Amino acid sequence: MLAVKAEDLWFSYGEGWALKGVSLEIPEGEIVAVVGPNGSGKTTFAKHLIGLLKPTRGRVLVYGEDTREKSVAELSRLVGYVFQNPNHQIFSETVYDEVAFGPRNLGFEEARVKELVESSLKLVGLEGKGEERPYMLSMGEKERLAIASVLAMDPRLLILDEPTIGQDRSTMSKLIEVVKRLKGEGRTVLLISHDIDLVYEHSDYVIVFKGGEVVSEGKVAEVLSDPELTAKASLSLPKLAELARLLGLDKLPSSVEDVVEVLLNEVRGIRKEELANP
Amino acid sequence: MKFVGYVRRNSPIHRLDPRTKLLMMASIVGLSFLFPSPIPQLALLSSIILLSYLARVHKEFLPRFRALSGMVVAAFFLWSLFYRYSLFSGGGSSEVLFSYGPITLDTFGLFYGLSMALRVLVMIGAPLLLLMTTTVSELAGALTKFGVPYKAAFTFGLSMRLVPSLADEMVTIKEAQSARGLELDKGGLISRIKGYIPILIPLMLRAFELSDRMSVAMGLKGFGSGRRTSYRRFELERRDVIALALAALALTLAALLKLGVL
Repeated sequence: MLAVKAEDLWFSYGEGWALKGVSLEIPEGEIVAVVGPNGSGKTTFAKHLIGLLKPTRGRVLVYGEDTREKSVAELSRLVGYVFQNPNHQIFSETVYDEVAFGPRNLGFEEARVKELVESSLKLVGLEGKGEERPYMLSMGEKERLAIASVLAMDPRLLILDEPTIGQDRSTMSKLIEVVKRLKGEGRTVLLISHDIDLVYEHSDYVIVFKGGEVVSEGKVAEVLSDPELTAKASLSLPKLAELARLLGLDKLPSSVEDVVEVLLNEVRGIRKEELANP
Repeated sequence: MKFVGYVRRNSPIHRLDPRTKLLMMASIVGLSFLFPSPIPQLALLSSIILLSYLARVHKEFLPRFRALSGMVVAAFFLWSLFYRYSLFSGGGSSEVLFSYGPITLDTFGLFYGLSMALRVLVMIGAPLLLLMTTTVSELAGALTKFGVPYKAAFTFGLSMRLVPSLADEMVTIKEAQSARGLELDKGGLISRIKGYIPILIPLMLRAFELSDRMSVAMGLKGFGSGRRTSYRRFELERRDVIALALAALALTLAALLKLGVL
């Protein structure tokens, strides 16, 4: 099933077009990255998926539902949207209540709310912190709390808007772990990010925006290893793709380990030759 | 489009000294207070509109009156029907046109309502035009020249800047919370008011956060470290003298009219 289907989506904030005829499909259960320069329409597109913005022209289907006919609250049963700054949403006295806000709004029974809160806190690594005050958490923990509070609404599609900005390495790897676990549960994750290496290593598909249009989409390794295209979209080539290009590898590596293995094999080959003909 | 805000143009009004513009605005507002009848209000309104043409901002300025139309209509009806209950209106000889219970419409009411409706436009139009043709830092500079302490003038300027950024913050917070299933237009009055808690708490904390960060940034740039010099020089030029003379003339004429000399 398709998680998202956009059909000739146009959107204007009043002057000019922020989205110019975006048509695309996002398959269910994949990690899909959205990349592109600032002001290229990434966030504008993502806000359409939960109905915060409605198409000026064209339409968007989320799991088959036309977003023009649904309120944000209705769509929030299907789609979770984590905003960039957790301080824009934290207001409760305890971590538990913060996470429970969403599922309570959706009218779940208190027993189900408890179950959802506990499982999402565990998923983001905040288990046992339910009674703490949200404002006393570290910035990385607050970011994960924001994700948990959206996860607790049990969305089938989760949108993360620039989750890695200002995060240290360990928070980032925890975040990636969460995203992978969500994929394992069959959920779809839409990742808006400027971190091209993160996208290259950890997502399945990528959509490249530029000037309100989709300039390319497809499997990450294919799209992001094209130097012409990345230059056109003002993106840098992922380090791994650059390395593969410099080494003249015909198969694109998906991790550093892949490159090391190729190199080691090469060295072993040379050694064998040396041993054979000293 | 934001309602209040500077519009950069090269015009004689923009080039006036901010003190001159502040005084002109004060005279227009003062005159509007002194003469609560339609013809003077209409004259003041036309002078504001004329000034907006001179400032070349009429295309931005005039459409903003549309946002005030509701207030103008409300002012007209309220004052024409209920002026007799007000503490400030004198009342005069008039003919009753219509009466029903406590509601009476008479000719004086009609006349008074019309001038109050026009006054709304004058009272909001004049400061609005000032803010469209003068930057906040020019205004703060003018205030210090008038003897307002620098810190107070600066705080005034800062609050003008903070309002739009807090409005942006509120939009984002509203979006974030509605994405968590918050519905603001559902339920009775109490539950609607309660619905605003998840918006107001983050907004308040963001306001503290923003102002705290701003005070640090100001401290780093040496705010409050003693006597301050200014790059901007305020000098009255010929155009300022002309503008001030016109304003003084209008004020004198008005005073004479009020005193019954003319």
